[in-house]
Amino acid sequence: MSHVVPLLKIEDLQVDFATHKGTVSALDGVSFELQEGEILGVVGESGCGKSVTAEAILQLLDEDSTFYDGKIMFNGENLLEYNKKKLEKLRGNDIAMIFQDPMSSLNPVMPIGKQIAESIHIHQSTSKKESIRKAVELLRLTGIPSPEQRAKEYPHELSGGMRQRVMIAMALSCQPKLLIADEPTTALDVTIQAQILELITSFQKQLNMGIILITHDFGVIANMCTKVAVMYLGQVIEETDVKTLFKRPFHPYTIGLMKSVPQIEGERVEQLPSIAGTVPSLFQIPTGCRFAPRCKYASSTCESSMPSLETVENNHRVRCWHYDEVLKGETIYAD
Amino acid sequence: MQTEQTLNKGKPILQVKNLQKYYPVRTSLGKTKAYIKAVEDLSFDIYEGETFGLVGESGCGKSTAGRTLLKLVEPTNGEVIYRDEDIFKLKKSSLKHVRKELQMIFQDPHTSLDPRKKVGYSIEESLAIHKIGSKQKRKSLALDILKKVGFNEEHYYRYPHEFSGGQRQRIGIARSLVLQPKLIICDEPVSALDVSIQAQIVNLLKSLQKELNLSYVFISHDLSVVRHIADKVGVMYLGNLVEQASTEDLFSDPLHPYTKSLISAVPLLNPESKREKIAIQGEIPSPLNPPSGCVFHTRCPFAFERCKTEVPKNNHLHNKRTVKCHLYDE
Amino acid sequence: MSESTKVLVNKPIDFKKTIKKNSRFFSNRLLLTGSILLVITTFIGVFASFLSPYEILEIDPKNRLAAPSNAHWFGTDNFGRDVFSRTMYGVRISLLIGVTVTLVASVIGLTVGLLASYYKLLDHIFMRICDGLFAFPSILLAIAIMSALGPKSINVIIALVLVFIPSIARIVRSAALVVKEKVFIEALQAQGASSFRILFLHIAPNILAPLIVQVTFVFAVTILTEASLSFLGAGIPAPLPSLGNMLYDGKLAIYNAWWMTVFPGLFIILIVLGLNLFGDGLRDHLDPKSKLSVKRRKRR
Repeated sequence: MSHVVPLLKIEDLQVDFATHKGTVSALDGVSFELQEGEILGVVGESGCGKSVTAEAILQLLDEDSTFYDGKIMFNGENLLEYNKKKLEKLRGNDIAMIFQDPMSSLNPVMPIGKQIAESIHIHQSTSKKESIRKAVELLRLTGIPSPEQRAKEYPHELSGGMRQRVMIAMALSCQPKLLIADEPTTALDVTIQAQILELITSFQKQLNMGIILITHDFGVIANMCTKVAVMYLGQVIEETDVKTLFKRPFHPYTIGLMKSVPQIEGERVEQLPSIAGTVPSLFQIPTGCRFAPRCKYASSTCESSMPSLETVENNHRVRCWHYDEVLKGETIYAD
Repeated sequence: MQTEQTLNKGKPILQVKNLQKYYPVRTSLGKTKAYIKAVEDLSFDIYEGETFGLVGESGCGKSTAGRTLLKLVEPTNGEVIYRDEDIFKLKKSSLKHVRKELQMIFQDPHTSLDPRKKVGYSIEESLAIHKIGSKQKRKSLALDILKKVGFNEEHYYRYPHEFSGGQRQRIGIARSLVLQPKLIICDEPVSALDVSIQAQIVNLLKSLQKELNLSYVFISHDLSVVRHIADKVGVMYLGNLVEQASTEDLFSDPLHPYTKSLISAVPLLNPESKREKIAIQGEIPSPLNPPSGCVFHTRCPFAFERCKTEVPKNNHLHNKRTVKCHLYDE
Repeated sequence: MSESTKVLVNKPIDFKKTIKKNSRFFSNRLLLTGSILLVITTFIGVFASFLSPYEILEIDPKNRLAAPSNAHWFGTDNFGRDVFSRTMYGVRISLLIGVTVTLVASVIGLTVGLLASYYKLLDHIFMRICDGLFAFPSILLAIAIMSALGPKSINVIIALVLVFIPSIARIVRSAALVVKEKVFIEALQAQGASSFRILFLHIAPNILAPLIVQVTFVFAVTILTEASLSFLGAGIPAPLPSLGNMLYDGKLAIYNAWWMTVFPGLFIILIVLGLNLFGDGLRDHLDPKSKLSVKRRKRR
């Protein structure tokens, strides 16, 4: 057992939303931890709760209609017990976040240099002049050419890739200990994606940041992460280090998902193996194992009782009653 | 796999020749001061039962090309030959007739259906527009096609918002299919869908193609998906078709530097892979002010003097491959 | 009668359940209040003849300018006519004019707006005309048209229709422009659908929400404008009572016969207020993003 306090430890996180159709449970008992310098990938499809998890950490969800339960321990302190002032101090400072669509995350009527400087000014109490100077320097570090000029430009004058670099500059301006990246490259072209991921990796090495990388793209996971958590319908259903996930995944959903992704290399198949059915609505969560209705290994046990997230091997946790059968039944996805 | 046979199956069903689409940029007084060259000199052929994949990143003109092909957008120049006639020169009534056979499916499943009309209505409307069949006949045709794409009779009476993104995409396919088209232009049909649903839709498209001998122009920025579904692939950059080859050839032996970098930028599903990465720097130039000579020269790791000044011509190589690059000039 | 039908017939209306089912409507205070006011005023308008104890044109010079009493709830005017009865009819006439103007202006405005959104040339022509009309304050424009046409009730309707077509056309045009960008319109074009089909069978149904909200506001302004016109003597000609011309009659006697102006004025307020609340509430109700019935609770 490690004696080091993990950078982030989420324990049994429960997040409910009050909607006009009733209360819906977006996250149901999510637990994982992240050490300093680790990159955790959170992967899943829509409705799985990966974005909600990210937003819950910084409590960015609508105050009036969101309920939290469980613990979010950051460096040993429970963030859910923080008051508004403490949270504001934390955001953008120790914990930073970058989002999917940089156009809607940047203020369209403020020059980008000013936006970065604002963040620096708030958290480091530097003078305005000094903040701008630091902002320009950051732009240079994120690979934006002619940063002094660019700092005076508005978001709409920049391309998607550049805006994302601005977001990264803003996020890193106060050298956070934890970076939460919510689908940072999904909206970008693949060549730009490669550049941005490269940038994030280099910053991670320099600052020894912990990163939570949320994505639906397994390729990105394979190239960036050290650890992976797979989510489905508000729960973590598999968690392990990245090599094991691609060599020996246990959960039928993980396997099904990985197999349904067409490859740029390797054998071309006639029909892509796909998972039957669709993700049920959060208002109609199945009883028992949530994946049972779509699972080809489902038994009556699966339909009646929910499996818990068990450790089955070294650092490999699965939420499945039949993981050992699954392993025998599937051709192992490996390279 | 339909590689060699389809490539040589007699005459192509559709021939695109030197397609060009420029958007004029006007001053406030209405004078044209510049052009956005969205599509430049695009040419390719499609054979029956074949899928032509058109790939490229944002701004390369692939979506514009798809729309211009069908004259949904007024072309600046070029020809599209279907059934021995240039559809750009057809009269309005004849063009409407052709539209039955050249259909399109769209990217955004959330706005591709009229939210105020039941699904059955939207599908029947395709038939009503072309005055096919009586009311009864249309209903039965619509029900048949819904079944074909995986729905039951009850779904006929529902509204779009009652369906998921993937289901709506299938309804969109049904809407086009009910007209019994020969060719369908698929404009990023799976980009807005979850990964597992993407696989379902791609599988559906493939099986429909086999059953009905359909041809597809499959437009996408996702190379992996295109590799899976296309027989031939064309790569676009800043309005130009820089390379064209069979899927097999393009992915195993890419020639154009842009194609090489595009393929190497796609992350592999293997954390331990050591692959030669051909990274390109910089951003895509603005189509208002494209680079002189070869449009890719500003970012090309292999560019030399000639590339900056001379526009490369389309080099025709063996195996029906074309490359627009000075590296391959004879 | 079988057991099951007995149960159905005797089942009381479960108010709690009905309210819960339509919670979005009932929790919308604006919509609720507005609807209640409108229901009341419409009731008055429809049943004016039953509600009126006296003939509206019947003069009774002996009882001129009598204060409100048991015999005349709202008193009498300068001709001895019962103000209550005249107010009831005034509501009817004002509402009738409102409905007619709104309907006609909506139909024409809808067509103009739709065509303008689809055809660039028509857009330029129509919108410049609308801009021109819009530049005039509605009252002045209405007065100008009335002076040209002459003081008849039908001309009041014509004048008001002309005044309000631009505002409806504008709303329709901007909403239609948004819908036009949606993919299903492009899909219809790819099918070969005619412009008529696209405009009237597809775009029109999808712009109903902003149109209806705008229409309620136009209705309210019509009532006010008609009242103002009549107040200025350029509207509904005497002796027919409209809420506006009753104010005109009462303005000279305002110090000694307050009831001649206060009661008609009160009903103008009620109608316009009802319409405005209804319009605001309807806008919130139709907006799927508004959090109308989400219970707000304190954070733990």
